[in-house]
Amino acid sequence: MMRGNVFDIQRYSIHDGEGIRTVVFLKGCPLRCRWCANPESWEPDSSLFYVRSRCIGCGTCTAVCPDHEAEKDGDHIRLHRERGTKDYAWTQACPTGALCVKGERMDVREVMEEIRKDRVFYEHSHGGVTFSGGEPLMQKEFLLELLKTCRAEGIHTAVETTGFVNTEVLREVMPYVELFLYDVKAMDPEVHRKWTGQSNEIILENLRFLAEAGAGIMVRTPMIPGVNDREEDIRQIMEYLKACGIRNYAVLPFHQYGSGKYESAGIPYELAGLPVHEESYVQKIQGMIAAEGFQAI
Amino acid sequence: MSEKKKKLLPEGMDREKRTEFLNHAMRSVVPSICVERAGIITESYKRTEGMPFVMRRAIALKDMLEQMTIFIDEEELIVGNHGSRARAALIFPEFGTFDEKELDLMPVRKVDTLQISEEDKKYLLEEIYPYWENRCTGDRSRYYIDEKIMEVLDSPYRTFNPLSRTRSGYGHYLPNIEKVLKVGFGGIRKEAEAYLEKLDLMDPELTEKKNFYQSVVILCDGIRVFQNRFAELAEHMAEAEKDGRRKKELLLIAANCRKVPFEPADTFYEALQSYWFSILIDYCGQNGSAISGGRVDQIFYPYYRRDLDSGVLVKEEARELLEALWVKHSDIIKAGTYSSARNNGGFATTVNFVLGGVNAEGEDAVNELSYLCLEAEKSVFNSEPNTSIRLSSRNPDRFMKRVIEILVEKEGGKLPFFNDDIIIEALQEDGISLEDARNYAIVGCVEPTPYGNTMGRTNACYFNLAKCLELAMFDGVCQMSGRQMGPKTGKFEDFDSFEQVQKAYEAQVEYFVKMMVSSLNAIEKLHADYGPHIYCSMLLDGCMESGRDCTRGGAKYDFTGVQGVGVADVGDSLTAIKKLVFEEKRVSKEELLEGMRTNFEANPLLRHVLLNKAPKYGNDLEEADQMAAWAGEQYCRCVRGYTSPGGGRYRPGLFCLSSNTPLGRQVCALPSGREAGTPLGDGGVSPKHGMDLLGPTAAAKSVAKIPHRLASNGVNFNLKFMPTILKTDADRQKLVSLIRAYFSMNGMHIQFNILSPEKLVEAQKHPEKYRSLVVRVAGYSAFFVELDKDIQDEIISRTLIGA
Repeated sequence: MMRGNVFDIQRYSIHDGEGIRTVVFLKGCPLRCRWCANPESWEPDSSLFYVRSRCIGCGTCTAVCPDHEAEKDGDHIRLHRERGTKDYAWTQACPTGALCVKGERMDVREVMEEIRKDRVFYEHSHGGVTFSGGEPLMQKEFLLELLKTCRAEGIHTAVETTGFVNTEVLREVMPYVELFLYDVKAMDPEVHRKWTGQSNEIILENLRFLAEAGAGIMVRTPMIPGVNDREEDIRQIMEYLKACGIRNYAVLPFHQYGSGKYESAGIPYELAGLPVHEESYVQKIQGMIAAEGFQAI
Repeated sequence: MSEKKKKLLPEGMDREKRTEFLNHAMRSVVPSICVERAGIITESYKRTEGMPFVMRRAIALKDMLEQMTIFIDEEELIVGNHGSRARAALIFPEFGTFDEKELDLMPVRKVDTLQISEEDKKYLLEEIYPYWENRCTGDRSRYYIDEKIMEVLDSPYRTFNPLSRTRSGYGHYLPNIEKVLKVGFGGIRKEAEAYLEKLDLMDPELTEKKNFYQSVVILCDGIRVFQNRFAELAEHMAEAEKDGRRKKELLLIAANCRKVPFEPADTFYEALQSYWFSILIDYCGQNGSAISGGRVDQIFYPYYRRDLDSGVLVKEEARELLEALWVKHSDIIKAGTYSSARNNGGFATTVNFVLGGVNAEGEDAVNELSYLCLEAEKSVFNSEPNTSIRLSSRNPDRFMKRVIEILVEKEGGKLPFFNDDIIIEALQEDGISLEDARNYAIVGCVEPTPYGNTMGRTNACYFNLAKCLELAMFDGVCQMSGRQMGPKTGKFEDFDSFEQVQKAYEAQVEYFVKMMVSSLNAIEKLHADYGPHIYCSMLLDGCMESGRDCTRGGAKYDFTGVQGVGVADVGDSLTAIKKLVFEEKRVSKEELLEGMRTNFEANPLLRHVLLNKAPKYGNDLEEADQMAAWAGEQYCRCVRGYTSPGGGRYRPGLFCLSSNTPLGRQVCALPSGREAGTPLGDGGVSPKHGMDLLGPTAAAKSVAKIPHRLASNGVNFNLKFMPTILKTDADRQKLVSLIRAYFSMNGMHIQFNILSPEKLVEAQKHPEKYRSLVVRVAGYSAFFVELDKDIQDEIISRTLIGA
């Protein structure tokens, strides 16, 4: 059976589509948004994740790791992520769960088992499953299998995407996706490139393609201070959405909740200390969006 | 807002102002001990020596009603005081006495602090208590409970402890006050007289019946005197009152008290006053708690509707009266021993009110008054009354949403939801008729009980399941004291299979359940002999018809409710033993026993392995959930086999309120990774705190795997929530769906604790207890305790603004 790399499955997700949802996070992403709250999703392969505050410095891992990937460092450990193979089975020995692996090779049946667990909650809330990432479309074949199975079982499907994919991929999955949660981060290609590592042309074209094809779409903009948070930034996006005939739109306020994950994943974080918006500013923008007749799902 | 114009009450005071005034006055009282009752009762008992006990109890309560100090406080609309001051706990020497040490502790102890003067202390110790030595039920219990059982109960590490029941009445039932509203105590008195007239000289139970009915007559007369004393007081106060508005109110109060509860109530206001006197008198008569009010939105509705329709009352006034009644409930407090205060805390009188549910036909019973009661609850929001929600699949989402809105605004912790559909089925399985089952209400905290006809003794005893596991692991030897407490069920070192552990555990549970039942049977006899509950007997259907007190099985339905505590701890421990010792052999038997004995002192790593390397109940994992379900079911089946002397059945519950803390002190370290002496899981069927890491849907599914209907005496499932995830209407709608889905899986109870900023600060300090708190935003979630401190602080400050 086909396998994919899943780095998290989150139940009772209530802000990722209609109703109560289970979000399946697939690993790998073509973008490198500097505000990303899930940096452990970037690498397509499984990677080490170390929650320092949970570590009791017992040294169990340093004794069992085959290639000195973990070294004792005072009361904690230091990781050498470049060492060894990508086989991280030895992390199982960690007695506290401080050290773990993000990304598990799961087959469709295993993922479906997890998805089905909250079926009763989907039914009572008109919820379902949301595939997120990373960029879930990077694991297209695996995703397609999952989507088809969900649809066959009557489970509502949503896909959260960066839109940075080949249009053919969208065309292929579209029949099995009831809702695309589609990120538009900025209208200016240079701003987009600077903050995400890629230009936005493909993304905007794909969005128009989906809209014209009649797909269910909810567009979201992670609103980042100093990047895309001016009223006119949001207005530009709304203009484009209107031109595409898209009615569902919301901003996602910037937060710092993911900052600790950078250290855990061994990735430098560039937005440390960047203050979040005042609640009143977020409300103002939300009001502006509502005034334009957009709705959130 | 033409509705605002008052029709019943004089103009000049608005609802909000009055409620705030009354609530402030009540909340600012320093709780104290009132010794007046002790004196009246002692004198009464001295006078009635030689008479049948049922009559002595009736006369004692009558004396109390005729002699106790009464007062009407400023701005009160519903009158009737419990002690000689507001929030004063009465003394019940006929049930039990406090020794000098206990009395000394009362004003200085940290929980349920009660002021008592040196003079009053001396009075109790020198003039009151000497008479009661060997006479109070507490002292007499030694002739009732078997010595072998007393040996177990003498240990501070016992597996159960029913002894507090010898020192108090049972409480924990629903008196049929609806009947009082309809026929008055005058009607009940007439009923008793009619029965007396019809008595057959050849009836073998003639004496018992005659004494019973004569006692009813005595009591009804006492009640009439009591209400008239209030009427006179109100009339006098009205005469002296300068303020015209208050004068009119006092005259309304006087008119009410002239009429109810002896005569039937005709108006909404009279109904509320009649209810209050009726429940108050019960609390003056016996020392039990959780004598509950029942379905107030149903009971008072006909009066409400009639008054509104006939134009003598407006909605806002009805709410004003309700709120006045709500506040009154904080007046009744109980004095417990230090240890019982530590177990329960917060002067938990626990008068439960229940709203919603279905009517006699099984249809949606939510009405205008249900919503009005919710608003009253919101305005007053004290620990009393303990308002609950009956939730049927027939009840509208709108009703639930309003409850959730109030929970969010008030930071939760109250207004639990009960699953009507499953409870009505479970009650029928207990032998209750469909009609009576549909009219159930909640007693105390979580105990579903038919209204007005059931002696449920719903909190007769807590049973420590975790302690039984400890004994099963050590051949019956208590690790806290080193003594042989339970039967020898084999040494863990010698067990070849996991099944042997389960067998040993089962044997320990069976052994101690038998002891618990025997001791409770003895206590039931004790109360039947020396502490008949005559007042509540006349308010429980079945007793009047049979002329038999409810302590002798006179009520239509009779149960004794006993709670198993520690399902999650036992489940998680068994799972860890099975997986880590027998299957994976990652932990050796000796290593585990050593860890349990020494509280993991020599091997702290073992504790982490146990905590993190075996699945835990609450994560929707079959392996762990089935084990907890097995433990819950085994206890319930074990209890269900027994019958009490009055012919009632034992009814198991799986809830603990706050007893998980004292019960935890009795248990050594466990294979679940729980440390010695620390609290057991905080809620009967809830996952162990901090162990449910996959969110509320996974936790709810795990909890629903325990067969709740077997535990028809009540279960509790507490869910903690970050307030940030209930911000919008859409969020709250999702919580509504969560509850509906959980109930569709036969979950019986759910209560939400919306964490206040203070609690989040506590979570920062004790992350291990709050491991399962999740911060959720779109596309992201994380455990609160694992976030950086400054981000946690930011969330806390947002919570402050948001709430």
